[in-house]
Amino acid sequence: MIEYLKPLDEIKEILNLERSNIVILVKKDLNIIGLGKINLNSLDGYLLIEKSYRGNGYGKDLLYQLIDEAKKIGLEHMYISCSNDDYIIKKIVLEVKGVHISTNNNEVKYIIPLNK
Amino acid sequence: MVINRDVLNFFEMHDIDFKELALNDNSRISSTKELNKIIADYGIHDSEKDEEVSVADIIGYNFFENQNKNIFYAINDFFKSNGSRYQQRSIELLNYSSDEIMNKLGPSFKEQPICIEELPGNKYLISSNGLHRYMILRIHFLKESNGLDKDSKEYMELKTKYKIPVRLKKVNLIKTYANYLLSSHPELGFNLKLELNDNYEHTGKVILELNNKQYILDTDELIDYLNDVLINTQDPKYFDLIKMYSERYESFKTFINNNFAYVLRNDKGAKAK
Repeated sequence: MIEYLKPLDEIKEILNLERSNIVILVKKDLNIIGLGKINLNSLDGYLLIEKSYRGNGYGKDLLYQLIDEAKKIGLEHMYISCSNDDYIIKKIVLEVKGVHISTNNNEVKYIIPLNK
Repeated sequence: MVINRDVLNFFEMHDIDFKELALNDNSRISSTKELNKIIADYGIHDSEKDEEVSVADIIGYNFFENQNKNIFYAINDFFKSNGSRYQQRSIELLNYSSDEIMNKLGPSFKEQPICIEELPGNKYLISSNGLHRYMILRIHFLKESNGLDKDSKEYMELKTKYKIPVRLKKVNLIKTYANYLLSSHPELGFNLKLELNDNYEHTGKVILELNNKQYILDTDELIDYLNDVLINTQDPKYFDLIKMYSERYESFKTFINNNFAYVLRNDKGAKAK
């Protein structure tokens, strides 16, 4: 069973994640297999799914969860960066209408509009 | 290498001698990094349009998790009935013959366009959507074109048969190469971004950030700015790299020659453009 969890602030601190960030954990059965977060200062988003669980749509669902949370607090956009050869993340970003804004040292950055 | 049962069935069903075909140079999967490292690391794509491109001209993709560089073996990672959701979801494509596949896939080209990027020299790569469809189409194409002369009428007809509608992202070579020269500058920490309007559309201009200041520049202004930067830069290693990449990539050499020819004439800094 897969669950997308918003950790309490105390748990964020244990995991060394800023209280002020949006954080979502991906839990499958008894294991945490992924993490998504948005830094509310820079609006930079971050997705990670453990390698052996990739290819099952968890990253895509995680991004949609992050987008929902970002919309709830009124963010107009957020950013996602990935390696230029990370086909899967680029495919997900395309689905949510991400727009390419920069490439530097093989890292591609997209802006994802949230108010469309 | 062990080929999974689904892929082996696919080869058998369509009479594809994969061991023989895998020896053909065209079966090799290219990536942006191999074709042009500057574009892989600093590529700026600021426009896209819908076009038709033949599968014959789409020579690879960028997918860092797939290490196999031969399409007849790489397919093993994309189709597996007992694999991940990604590996299972397009498994029915394995059943279509080369005669029926274009018709079967027709609607999908409109609903979910295959996204490709163009590199200099009319080379195309899958960029962000359509990898399963591409794998199957490319393998059917390679089987049918095996042994044909590339200048022959039969080969041209085959290229036409395998033309598909795609969403083509175009690399902007001027912005890409300017991005490389600025971002890799040895002394100054430049950051170059594309400017967007209120609707999150590219305006055609770039935002250049340096020391917490931003400069919004059109293409001509970007070239002028870069010219000033190059004239005032002394680091020989920086220019050695520029010369090395100019030897390696014709389009980069053209860019430098058209805008900063003094860099390649070894009198860098002696003249403005």
